[in-house]
Amino acid sequence: MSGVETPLLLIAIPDGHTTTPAVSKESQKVATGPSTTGSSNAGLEIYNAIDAQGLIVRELKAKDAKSQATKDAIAKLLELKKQYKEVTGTDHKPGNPPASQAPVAASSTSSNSALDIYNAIDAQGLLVRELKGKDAKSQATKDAIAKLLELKKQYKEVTGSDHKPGNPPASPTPAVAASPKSSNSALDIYNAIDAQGLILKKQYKEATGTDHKPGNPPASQTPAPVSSSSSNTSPLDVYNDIEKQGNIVRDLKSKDAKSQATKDAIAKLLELKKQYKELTGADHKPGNPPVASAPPISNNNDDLSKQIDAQGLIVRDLKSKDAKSQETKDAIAKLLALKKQYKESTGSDYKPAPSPAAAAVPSTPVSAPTSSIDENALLKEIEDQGAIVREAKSKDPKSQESADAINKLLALKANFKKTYVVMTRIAILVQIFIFFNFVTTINCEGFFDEVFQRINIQEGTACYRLLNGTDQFGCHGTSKNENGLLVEIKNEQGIFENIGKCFKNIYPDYDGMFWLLLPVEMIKKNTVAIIKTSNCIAGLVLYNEKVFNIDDSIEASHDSECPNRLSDFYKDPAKNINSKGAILPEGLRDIHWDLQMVFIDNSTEIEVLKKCYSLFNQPISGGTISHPYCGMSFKLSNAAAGNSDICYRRGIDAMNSLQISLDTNGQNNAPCIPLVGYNIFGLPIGLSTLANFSREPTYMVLASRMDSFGVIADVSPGEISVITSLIAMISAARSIGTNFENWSKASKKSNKYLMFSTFNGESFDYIGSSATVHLMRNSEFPLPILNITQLRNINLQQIEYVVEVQQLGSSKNKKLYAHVDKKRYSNKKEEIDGILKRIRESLVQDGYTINMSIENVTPPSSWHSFAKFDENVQNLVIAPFDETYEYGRFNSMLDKNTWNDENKNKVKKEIEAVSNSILSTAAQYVGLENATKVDEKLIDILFECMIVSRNWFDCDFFKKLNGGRYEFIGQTYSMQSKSTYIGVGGNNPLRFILHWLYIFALGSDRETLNVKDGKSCMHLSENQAVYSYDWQPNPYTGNFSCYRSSVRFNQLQSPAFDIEGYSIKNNRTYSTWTESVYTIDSIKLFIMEDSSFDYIMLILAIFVFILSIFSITRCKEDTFIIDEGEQLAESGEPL
Amino acid sequence: MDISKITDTKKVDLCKKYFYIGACCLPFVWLANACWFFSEAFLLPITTHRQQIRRYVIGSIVGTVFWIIVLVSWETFFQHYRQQGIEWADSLTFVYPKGRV
Repeated sequence: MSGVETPLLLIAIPDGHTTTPAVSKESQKVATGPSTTGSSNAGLEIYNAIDAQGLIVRELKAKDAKSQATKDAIAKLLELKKQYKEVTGTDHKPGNPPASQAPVAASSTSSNSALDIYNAIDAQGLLVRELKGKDAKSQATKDAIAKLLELKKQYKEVTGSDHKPGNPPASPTPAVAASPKSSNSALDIYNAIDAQGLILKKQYKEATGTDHKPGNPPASQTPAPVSSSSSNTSPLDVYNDIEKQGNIVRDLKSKDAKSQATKDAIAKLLELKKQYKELTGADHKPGNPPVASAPPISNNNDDLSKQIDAQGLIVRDLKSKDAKSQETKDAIAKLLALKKQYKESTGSDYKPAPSPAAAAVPSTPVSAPTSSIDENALLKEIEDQGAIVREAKSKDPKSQESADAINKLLALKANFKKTYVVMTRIAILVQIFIFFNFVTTINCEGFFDEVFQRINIQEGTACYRLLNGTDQFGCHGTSKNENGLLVEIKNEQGIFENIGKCFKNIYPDYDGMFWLLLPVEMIKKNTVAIIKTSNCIAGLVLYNEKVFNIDDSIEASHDSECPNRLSDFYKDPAKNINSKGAILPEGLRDIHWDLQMVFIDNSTEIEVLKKCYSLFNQPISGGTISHPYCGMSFKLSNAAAGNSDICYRRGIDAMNSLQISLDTNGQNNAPCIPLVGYNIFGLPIGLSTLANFSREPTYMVLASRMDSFGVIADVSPGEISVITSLIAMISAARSIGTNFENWSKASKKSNKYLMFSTFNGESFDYIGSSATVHLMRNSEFPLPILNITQLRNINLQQIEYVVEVQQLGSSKNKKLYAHVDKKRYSNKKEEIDGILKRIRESLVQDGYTINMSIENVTPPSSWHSFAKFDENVQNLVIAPFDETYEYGRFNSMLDKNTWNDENKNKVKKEIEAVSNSILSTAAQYVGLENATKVDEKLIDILFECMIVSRNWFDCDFFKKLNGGRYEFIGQTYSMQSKSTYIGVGGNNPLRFILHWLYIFALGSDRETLNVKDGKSCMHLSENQAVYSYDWQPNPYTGNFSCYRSSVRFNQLQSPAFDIEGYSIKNNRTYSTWTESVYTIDSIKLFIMEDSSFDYIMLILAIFVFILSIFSITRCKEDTFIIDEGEQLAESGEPL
Repeated sequence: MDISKITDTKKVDLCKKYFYIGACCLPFVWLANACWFFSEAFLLPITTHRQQIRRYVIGSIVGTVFWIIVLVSWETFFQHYRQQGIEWADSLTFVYPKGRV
């Protein structure tokens, strides 16, 4: 330990980052360093320090002008500059090192040696290169270049020769060089260190092929160090190494299984294991340390081959980065040199052992199974393997390594295809299945016919809801009574025995509802109660099995025992006039049915239903029968509910509120519609305002009704209830019309006139007659008073008699009765007596007996409407019944008869006789001496056309009467068949027929012979209201002519709906009947299977589905895979 | 939203805003306002801010109770009286059912 100063050589290996805060700190320290040394060198030192700091500042500014580091560096620089100024006395100027110091520095440097300068030049050169590399035009670069040139000049001065790189001057000793270096400046040392670092870095790069990264010791070098160390170690050492490396690998894997570090560590581990195997001859087994055995055979060739391996890896890396760089070329050169060495030493070519590339391969299969389901993982593996294959091929396309890699790739691809193609195929199957479902649900028609047998139901042939002011009646289809098992009831026994038990004895395993197929006449007094109270009947399918004879005493009236009880004039109609015929006391119409009803007219459709029953539902010889059953589905839904009050009110509300404009474009879409029909009024003598009438004319109303109903309202043939009476009236009218002069003379003389009125809706609480009375009371009958009419309206007080004939044809033993109200009889006793006498005379002539019935309570008739508002009008009903109806099918679906000649004659005779009696009544009233007689032929014709024929226009007479003016092609029951129901739409052709008949009967065409066409005929009707002119054909000849008549028709609904503020619920004065709007479905017949059927079909479907999947997946790949060139790849074509 | 972290004035603003929003026939907004600021208004020591919040919360509670009464009574009338087909009860509904009262 002498006191000689020895230089302290510090080697700082910079970590490679280019930020200068550390540098600035270091340079700070370095900068402060020089300030503490002697002043002789202070200036230069400071100058250099300032330079360095300046560089640092510039760098930092370029990076981030506002960072704290930059600010610190700038502060330091300013301080240095201040110092410099203190020391030298001048400002720091770049490019001007302090001169006074310079010689000292220079002499000090020159006294040092050329070696110093040489080293300085080297350092400066490196610096310059660095700076140039960063930015060739910066001020720092220029400064550095300037300094370099300065140094080179110095060197030349000192040594006398130019500075040549790689040729250090020989003389100076490292120590001498070192010491002034130590006193020279730490900065120089720093620069030297920098330079040294750069040189070392370059060396490192050449050696390893990668950039030096702090903290990442080269892994690929490990084979070299391992191999170098392995030649000296024992198997036990290797074993320990393996253990250690295994731990390292586990650590790295847990951190990140795919990083480069992990891969390197795994490679190292595998290398160690290989080594171990070579050394010991056995595989490495954890927990089995090797027995100390023979020292390892250090094979020089092993060493060499390992080096070659390592170098090969380096080359591959470099190539993958840049195949043409200098580094790559160097590395390749080194590799080739090694290989030559190997060949020289061993005498054979170097053959690569399974490379780390192969080592990498085992790692991928390890990871593959864990992610075989994940599509992305599979794809990634395939990509990796593809890269490996490419590498292997680039090395040697024919080697075993390449072949293995290719096989692996193909295996992976096949695996991918298997899992993924099958799944996409399943997805396609499912989509096709869904698509077909979708398509078939849109287009149901494809399957409909295979599932259902459909029977269309006409509008009007099913029972729907009728409502009056307080209640709802009729049938409504719900989900409960929609479907049922079809059962045919052939006789009453079927009903009595089975309905009570819900057919359990015949269909033991069926729990649902039943549709009964039965004829209408089976709804009788003794069966209807059972049907009504049963809770397992979905509905009734009704058909006409037998048409009765008028003589049959069948009790099948669907009206109540006291018809129109609520609107009867008598507060207490004691008599139950229909008690003989009524099936239920309240009638079948006024019942809220739980079941539905359908009426089928067509015999073929009935046959279909019967066949369905006989095939599936008919028990064999009275036993039981099981599934499959023939089921039926039918639904009629009503919109209205509650009563007329509620639904009509809601309809009005809806009309006023927003709903209407949104849904229906301003039309009334009330759920229920009041019953409304056409009423026809025929006046033989036209009304006119003649001033010479001092007294008001009085009228005798010859009334008839034109409507009836059944339990299904539209199905109402009404032969006896309605049509026979109409025929009588029309015939009488015709008789008056043909003898017009006599009758008109007598009328005008007595000032007593006749009015034929055919009212509509009388069976529904006198709709037509009450509306007429209402009009009369408001002086609006027959028309509202307008300026153009010269009409003398008819008031209620002018009506003296209401004469009606009812139920003609049902008389027993030719006995007829005349009903007169007793209370009002006394007012006009003589007159009435006179009339009755006249009637008797007439009837006796025709062979009928008549009994006068002057009673307290007269039968229901249109008179009741008049009587309510007038005390004087008198009732006269000529009918074949006395206290109870004789006819058992009044207002019934069965009011239809078969006719043979005998019956026909009987009824026709009765009609004729009563018609004559009407004429007698009228003649007596108007004061005609000899009443005219009716035309029998007309009665014949009318009877044939209106009663016997199946449809209204089947007969010639009506065809001619129509003359082709109207074609009735509607699809409702009233259009297709004969119906007398009032309805709501005016669809019934009967009103046209009656209108034309009255015009024919009461009108004449003699006054209008000059009118030759319809238009001018219509023209005559305008501007006057006394007569109406109709262009109508003669029903006998079919020739059109213009008929002048005083026949008008009014469409009338109940005044309850016309009067403002009328309380529909409470006021019984007028009819409050409404009909619900309904929608009708068609009958669908289908097969009902039991529940096990469903399960079997489900299982079958699943089975078929699975089968279809298997049949598709069994297809070979070749059918689906497009050739992508793998065959070629296998044979060695480059990818 | 945790209201303990916002300033007092913001709390008052929020409570007030919710109160006014609830006044647009939105009873659930009032209910939410009452529940949200209930602890703030009544369970903590009183300050000027809390006094204001208390007022709004009371208003919200009153409004909620009012709406509850209105809605419950409407519902009772609707369910009980409307199906009887009473005339005034029909004004409770906008769409009439088809096929039943």
